[in-house]
Amino acid sequence: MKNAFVETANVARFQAALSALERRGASEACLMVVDGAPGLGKTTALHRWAAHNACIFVRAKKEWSPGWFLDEMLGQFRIAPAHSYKKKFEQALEAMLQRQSAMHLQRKTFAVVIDEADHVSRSANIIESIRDFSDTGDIVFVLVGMGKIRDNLTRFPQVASRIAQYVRFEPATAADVRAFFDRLCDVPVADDVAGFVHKIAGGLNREIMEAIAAIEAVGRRNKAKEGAPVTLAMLAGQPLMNDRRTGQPIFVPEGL
Amino acid sequence: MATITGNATHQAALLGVMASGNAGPLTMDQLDAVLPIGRKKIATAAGRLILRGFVERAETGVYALTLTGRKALAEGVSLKSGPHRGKRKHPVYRDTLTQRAWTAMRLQPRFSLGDIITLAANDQDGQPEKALQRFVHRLKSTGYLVELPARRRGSTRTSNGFKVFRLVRDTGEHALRWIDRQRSMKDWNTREIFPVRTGRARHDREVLPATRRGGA
Repeated sequence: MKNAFVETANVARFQAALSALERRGASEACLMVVDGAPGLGKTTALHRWAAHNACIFVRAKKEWSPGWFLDEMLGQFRIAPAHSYKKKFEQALEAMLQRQSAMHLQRKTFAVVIDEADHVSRSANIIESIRDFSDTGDIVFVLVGMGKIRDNLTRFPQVASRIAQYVRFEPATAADVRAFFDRLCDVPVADDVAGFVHKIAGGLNREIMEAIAAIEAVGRRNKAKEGAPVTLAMLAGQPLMNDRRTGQPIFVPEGL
Repeated sequence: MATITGNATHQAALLGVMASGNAGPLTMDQLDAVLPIGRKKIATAAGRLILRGFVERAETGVYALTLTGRKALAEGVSLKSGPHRGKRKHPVYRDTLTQRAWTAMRLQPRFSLGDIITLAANDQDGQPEKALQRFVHRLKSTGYLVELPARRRGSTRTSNGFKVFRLVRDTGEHALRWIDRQRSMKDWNTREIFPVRTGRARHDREVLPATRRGGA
């Protein structure tokens, strides 16, 4: 399998939302919410975006307090946190504004990405701290979670009104699965295989990757090449992936 | 009895205590037990030594000698109080493959080379595999990366799997840069320079006996 990043429809939607965020009218509306079921590639997409834009990426913890949140932020900048919350806030704000300015010169968006933000979406203290940062420094915060964030944030209308963009990661489309095969698979694959994988994987990226590994093995054995790609007939009776719910392997049926 | 006054004296005393131990990190409590000055003075002296690049803060209240600090001790550098250099210029954040790879490594608790290529490489990067293999090798030989014992399973039947690494020395946002002239890596976060053992000498050792056998 090749090492490459696949630009799926979800990633395109995320990029479009970022562009819209940069063109926003109200400068204080700089929060973004990214949600979706596990296994749809949210964390990978956000990791890649953070690596390319020198963003701060922190993972929320269940018992996060405002102090702990600031300690983790300062840890990302390798700044020794002061003792008081006030000083920590000032340290974090200064570091973020400096980074924001440096990235602005390179025409890039600096943001703070908070993964697993479901943990903090009900905590008024942390959500208000995030609002303080975004109001004071126009710093973009991207909250990534699994679907409860939108509902939980409705409890804080002053915060919900500052969310400029919502992006929901949806299961991969048929075109996305085709793109996965084209970009990652070492052997050529026929459209019927891509269609079958799309159907049984349920649009989940992890399952699609598993299927690609299994299909590559069959393709190599059968000497698949351009003009003679891997077809469903070649895969008949082969295990393709494991069912996430039952843990049982899914085989390609005979006679398809 | 002479009293210890002046920041440089405090810094020298602190450096001396750190050198007399096993050169491992020391906590504030350990330093406080040995030094005849208050905790606040110790923290101030440690902060100044960090600015000089002689000491690093392993975590809050825990200090360790850097390579530069050990060298300074070995050379018997005298520590003078007052400003010791001009205003430090922050290195520019560069959009390069290694910088993106370094940021990606900081994001992931453990990773294979393939993971980093997926996250960091652009279509414009010529041969990201080769460049990142070199970068990873250099980080490993300078002690920034460790290889984990378990490998990640490969997709092919006969694959040996993929090496998995962990970043154990995360000194900051700036990636280490290769200085070809000195055959060294420079850490722009701590301003330390680490010589790198390159594969050239090992290659020579492997080739030489075979040539002799061939000649005989």
